[in-house]
Amino acid sequence: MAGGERTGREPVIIFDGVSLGYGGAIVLGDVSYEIDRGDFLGIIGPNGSGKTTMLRAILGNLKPIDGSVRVSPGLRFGYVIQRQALDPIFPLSVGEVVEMGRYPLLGPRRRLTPRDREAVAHSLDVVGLAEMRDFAYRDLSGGQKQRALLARSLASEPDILLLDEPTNDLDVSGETRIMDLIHDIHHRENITVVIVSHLLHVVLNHVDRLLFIKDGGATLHPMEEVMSSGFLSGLYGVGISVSEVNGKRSIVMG
Amino acid sequence: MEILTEKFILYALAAGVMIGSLCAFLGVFVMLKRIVFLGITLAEVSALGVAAGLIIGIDPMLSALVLTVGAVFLFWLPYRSTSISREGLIGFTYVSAAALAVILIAKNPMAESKGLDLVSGNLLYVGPADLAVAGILTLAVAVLYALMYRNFLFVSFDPETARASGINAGLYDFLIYLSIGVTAGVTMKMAGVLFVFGSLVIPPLAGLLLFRRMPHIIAASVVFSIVCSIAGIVISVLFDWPTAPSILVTDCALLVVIAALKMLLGGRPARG
Repeated sequence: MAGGERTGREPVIIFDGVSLGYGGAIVLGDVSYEIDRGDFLGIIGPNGSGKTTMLRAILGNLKPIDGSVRVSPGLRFGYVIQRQALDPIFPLSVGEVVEMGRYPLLGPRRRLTPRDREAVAHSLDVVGLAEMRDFAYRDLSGGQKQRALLARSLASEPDILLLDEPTNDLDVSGETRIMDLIHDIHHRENITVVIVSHLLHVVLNHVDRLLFIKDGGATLHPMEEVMSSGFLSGLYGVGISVSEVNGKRSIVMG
Repeated sequence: MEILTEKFILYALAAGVMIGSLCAFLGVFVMLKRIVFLGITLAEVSALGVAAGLIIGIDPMLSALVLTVGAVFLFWLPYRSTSISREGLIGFTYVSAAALAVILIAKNPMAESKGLDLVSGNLLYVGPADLAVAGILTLAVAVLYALMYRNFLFVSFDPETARASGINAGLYDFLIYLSIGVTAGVTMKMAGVLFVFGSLVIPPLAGLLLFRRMPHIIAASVVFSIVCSIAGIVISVLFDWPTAPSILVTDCALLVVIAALKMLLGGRPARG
């Protein structure tokens, strides 16, 4: 299921005949694909299809039932969890949340060094939250929380960013700003990005390739292949027209 | 008032302050991790351990430790049943441990002679050896949290991301549970279920009401516990009330005052 032939590829994560599931029950079966350095990959599928399961397997938090997931040695992950999964009871400032990105890198004395503080400050700056460092994380808006979590993953200076539904419950404006920010980070910081979403239109204008998860399987496609009415209509089982307005891809259902 | 300078009262004060502070500190994690019910269940399992140790004829602290660490391990394991909730299992453990402990104490003629009251505790019976044990425990927990506080906070707030970052979230989570379980096991015979559980809950509530940052919440929780432990023991001596309930009534009264003042002043917790 290669996503088209690409030159100069450097696979950093390789799924080879992987089956994933819980307690022996398979959620996704026989999945094979590769994530290359510099990729901007979207993982798309309906709710409950297994997108988060796929993400957990990439992170190594879920062992395959069958097949293998090979990860380049030393590859550093920056994971951005769904912000709704975090309990607002925790009395943490934005700065404290972002500092957590440095915790795995701390020395035996477990103290933040000037280098750690610099990385935290830079990350806050990148996401535009430098002025809100001392604000309570739980008091932030949904978009600001998403930025803080993004900053936390950037603080770990990752090789690959993995984002789980980063635009969930955001309005159109918040959704656009978060996706533009992720797009900028991908280009400016030269970080491989894998983004999970159940909404195709959210990732359409940003990703290079799409991994579609549906009916217990996964197929990888380059965007040139995805952006055709025939392909999308066949995939979703409803009529979908594809167009481009002001250089931006858009889809219309029905 | 002279009685307040008696040795056994000073021992009780030292034990109350030490055990109360330790529980108040750990209680902040209990509240944030939303494992209050687990907290009282571990306390009750410890009480069963003390009662069982006395009947069998082994050191009650050892039997309490063994049972509590066993319970910690049981509740730490991933829970997979879809028909019975984890809370249901914890509830079952609480009820069975409490009922068995009461029966074992009722049927043990030694219990009364040793002044054993697993509900109210017996701080006034604490001796220098008990104080030394409580001191070692406090020191051990302080060192553990000084070294691992950041990771404990990370895995409590966001275990999935911590795991993805290469932190052994399961191990750190186990250590948090273990520190609570060992504290309950070691202090149960000295302080009783009510004092241990109450100190895990009430002082952290005060800290959470008053402040919005972890270091300040922890400090406020510990100071609250120290003040109430001293005041409660003095009240218990002056009015001849049972010790642990006196401390906890003081805890609750002060908490109500703080909550009422906050409502009257209409304030959110301080920014600190």
